[in-house]
Formats: sequence, C-alpha cells, structure tokens
Amino acid sequence: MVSIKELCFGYSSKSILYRDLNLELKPGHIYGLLGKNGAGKTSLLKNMVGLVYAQNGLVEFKGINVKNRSVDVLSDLYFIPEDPYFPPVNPLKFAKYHSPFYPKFSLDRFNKNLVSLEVDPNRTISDQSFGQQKKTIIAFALATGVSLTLMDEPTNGLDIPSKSQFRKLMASTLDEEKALIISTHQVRDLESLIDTLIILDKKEIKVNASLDDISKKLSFSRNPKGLEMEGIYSEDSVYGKTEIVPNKDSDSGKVDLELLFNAVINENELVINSLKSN
Amino acid sequence: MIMSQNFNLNRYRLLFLKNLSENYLKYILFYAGMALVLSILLYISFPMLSNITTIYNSNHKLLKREPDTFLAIFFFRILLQFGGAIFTSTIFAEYGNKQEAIYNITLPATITEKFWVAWTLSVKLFTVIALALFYLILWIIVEIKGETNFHYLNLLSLEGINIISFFLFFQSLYFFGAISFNKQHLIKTTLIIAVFGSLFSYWNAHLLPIIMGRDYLGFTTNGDIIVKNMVIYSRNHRFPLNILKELIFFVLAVIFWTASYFKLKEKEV
Repeated sequence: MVSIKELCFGYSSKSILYRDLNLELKPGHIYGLLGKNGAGKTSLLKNMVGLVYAQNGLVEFKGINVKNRSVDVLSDLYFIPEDPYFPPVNPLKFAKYHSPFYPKFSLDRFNKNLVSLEVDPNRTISDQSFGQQKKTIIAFALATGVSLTLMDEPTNGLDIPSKSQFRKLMASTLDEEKALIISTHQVRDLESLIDTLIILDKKEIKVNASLDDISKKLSFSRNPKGLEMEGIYSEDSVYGKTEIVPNKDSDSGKVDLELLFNAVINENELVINSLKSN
Repeated sequence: MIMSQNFNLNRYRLLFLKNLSENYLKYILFYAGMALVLSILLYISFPMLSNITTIYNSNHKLLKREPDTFLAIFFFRILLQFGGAIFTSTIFAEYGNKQEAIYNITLPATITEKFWVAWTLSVKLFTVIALALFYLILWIIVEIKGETNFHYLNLLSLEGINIISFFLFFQSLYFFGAISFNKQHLIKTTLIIAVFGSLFSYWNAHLLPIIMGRDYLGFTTNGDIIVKNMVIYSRNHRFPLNILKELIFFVLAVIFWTASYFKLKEKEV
C-alpha cells in the first residue's frame, strides 16, 4: 500500500532526518510508529501524505507518487495531525462540506462515532476542548472509509474512557483493505491495538516487525525479587526488574513495548540482532 | 465518479462552497467595512465629485464644459487597489499556519481547483462586488442629493480600462505575496512593491537620458516624458497603441498569477 524507497529527507541540507530509508506498509495492519522526540516520526507521516518534499527517494501510495498530491491519493488517505485545525463550524456542518471529497464517506458511521466518543454534533468544533476536537476528527477520519489513516499522537488530550472507546473504534474500522499508522509516545495506550511495530531512531528504521514475530523471538518478564535471569536487557522499576530474554520455546507472550523501545534506542545489539534473526 | 486529475467543475463548486461556509462572516464584515468607508468618503466629497470644469480661451469664450472626474477616479482606484490588496493578502493566509496548511493541502482537490477558488474569490468576486458597491453607493448619494446631471465614470472608456488593468496587475502582486509569505503578507508585499517601485523609478530616471540623449525631468500622469527646456515627448495616445500599455499590465498580471500557481503547488508544511 505504501512504499518508501531510498528516502532522504531533512528540513535543511545540514540536518538530515533520514538517509536511504526504505519501508513497506501493507493493508490489514495497524502500525505503531515509535521514536524519540525529534526522531522524525511526524515528518515520516508528512512524507507519506505529500505534505513535504524529500531531497531524494520516492514515496508511493498504491503505486502513485504522493508528491503530486493527486486527488486519487488524497481522497483515499486521511492524516490526523497532533494539533488539528478546525474551521468555526459544528461537526455536522464540517461533515456536510468535507464528506463529498471522500467518495466512501458514511454519514451513518460518522454519527455513530460521534455518539460513541460523546461529541456534541451541534456545537462549534473550535469552541470545544482540545480532547473533544481530537475526538471529532477521529470520528470523521474513521467514517471516510479511506484505505490509509495516519494519526499523529491521536490519544493526546483524550480522557481514559475516550481512549478505550478510541481503541474499540480503531479495531472495528480495520479490514483487509485498510491500514492504520499511529505515531505516538503513549505506548501503553496502544499496546492492545497495534499489530506491527516500527521504531525510528538515528536516521533509520531500527525495528519493523509484527508483535507476533517479536513475541516469538523475545520474552518480556518481571522479576519482583531481583533474581538473576538470562536477560539481554533489563531495567529497574518500582515492581523490581523488568527484563527482555530470548524466547527459546517460541511461545507468544505479551510484548512490553516500552521496554523494547528503550532497549532499541539504547542500542542494545543483542535485542536488535535477536529481532533481525530468522 | 471518475475524478479528473486537473480540474473537475463539481469539485471546484464543492471547494468554493466549503470556503464560503467557513469564511462567510469574515467576507461579510470586510465588504461591510469597505462599504462604510466608501460611503463616508463619497458623501463628504460629493460637492467636489459633481464639479463641472469649464475651460475658456483667452477671449473668455467657452471652449468646453466637462465633469471633473479626478476625485471619483481617485476614490475608485483607492477602493479597488487598497481594498483588493487587503482582501487578497488574506486569501492564502491559511498556508502560513502549520495546522491550517495541513488541513488545506490534504483536502482532496487538485492544486488547479484550489488556485481557481482563491482566484475567483480575490479577483473575480472582489472586482464584481467592489464595482457594484461603488456604483450603488454613488447612485444612492446622487439620489439623496438630488443631483440630476451627475456624470458616472464609464468603465468602458480608456480611463476605465486603465484602472481595471492596473488593478489586476496590483492584485496579482498581492496574490503572489499572499502565497509566498507565511505571515504579515500585506506589510511584506507592500514593502517589496515600494522598494522595487523606487528602484524602478530611480533606474528609469538614469536610463531614459541615456536612451534619449537628453536630460530627463519626469513624466506626466498620461505617461508623457518631460525633458529639459520643457519639451514633452508624448506617448502615442491613438488606438491601438493606447491599449498596448494596458495589455502589458494584463500580461504581467497573468505572469504573477502563473507564478502563484506554482508557488501553491510547491507549498510544504
């Protein structure tokens, strides 16, 4: 669905964010994009949508170069920025004037999304709280029926019940022809949602693997008594030690995204190599 | 629905309606403010607007009587050029704001359609509304004052064409400024026009003596050149050469609109 080839991008020639970056996104998946502040997560999303132009390389969506900002591409993807803009209209009017641009938009679905996220459809969006605005754009994006939805920190500003509702909506939207990519720092919010993890660090993609594959290769355990284990990466926490150990019996367990992320950005070669091994 | 990759009339209509639904209040306030200022200016200066100039020869014989249109033309120019500059400067303001730029760029419409909506609003619609307001307000004042022989400015005259062509050129500069700058479009564009205008005049004053081989003193409002000893080199005021100057303004306007289109196409966030 999305094909990134040899992407070289930076906001100036002196500060290059990625060099020769390659990535393939397939339909039927929810991708979690993780990275430190300034790693270039938002910029990668912007490159996928055609909001910025790369120095080199190619970004294609269903075989079309996104740089051309063609209607075929723009009407089949939706980008939710971290801090979205809304015109001074209410959600219903917003949908009335925007939905005709998305051929697969479902008003029924939009109304249901608004109800489940508890958004007032008659109140001017820009007058609502940040969280309510965020929920409105999520409700709209998930009703457009587009093949690719890109979200930058979607859970920022959402209260706890809304986060849970958000996860349910996301899961119900996904089908074999659609893909969702979520860039976030709130890994705990998405642990039960994403199926593929992408970690961006130091100008390259360090990890691009499904959670199934990760859990077959690595185990994540908590050692409350601080006993010695064969961990290849460990961190102290209030509960004792949390560790990553090679998964020898290939049984799938739960992936501790935060621990894995820390191991990767701390350049733990054992963890990175374990993920690369077949 | 088969979607055209360059221009689709239905999508253009939808985009236009979307723009109006989001900005109608801003537009109404702008035009209302412009109408108010214009009404005050025209009402206060009406005695001068309805002046009749009479020209006599040395034997006190009446040569001609004609309406004094200078002030009316001046107000008309002010309305079009300054009102147009202010309005046009805001037409791409959303592209200067990161959040709004994302919202606008990712909207599924082509660059051509986005460009034509902005052009329609700031050139076509603005010109029509400004002209309508000017003549309507003037007509109301003429009726209130009971002036029966008021001479309205004829837009199909050479003077009218000159005003419109220069306005379109001026408008195209602000249109280009609106998409080129991220913030304070009006101030920045005005400043650049002032700097380039001054430089142009300065070089003009230095180049003309070289071209003409005479000392250049200045030029008249008709574009005639005055040299030392008050010899006036007159422009050819006959058709079609008189139209040529106006055509140059049209051509320049088209160049700046085309440049704006490509600027819009290259816009990044």
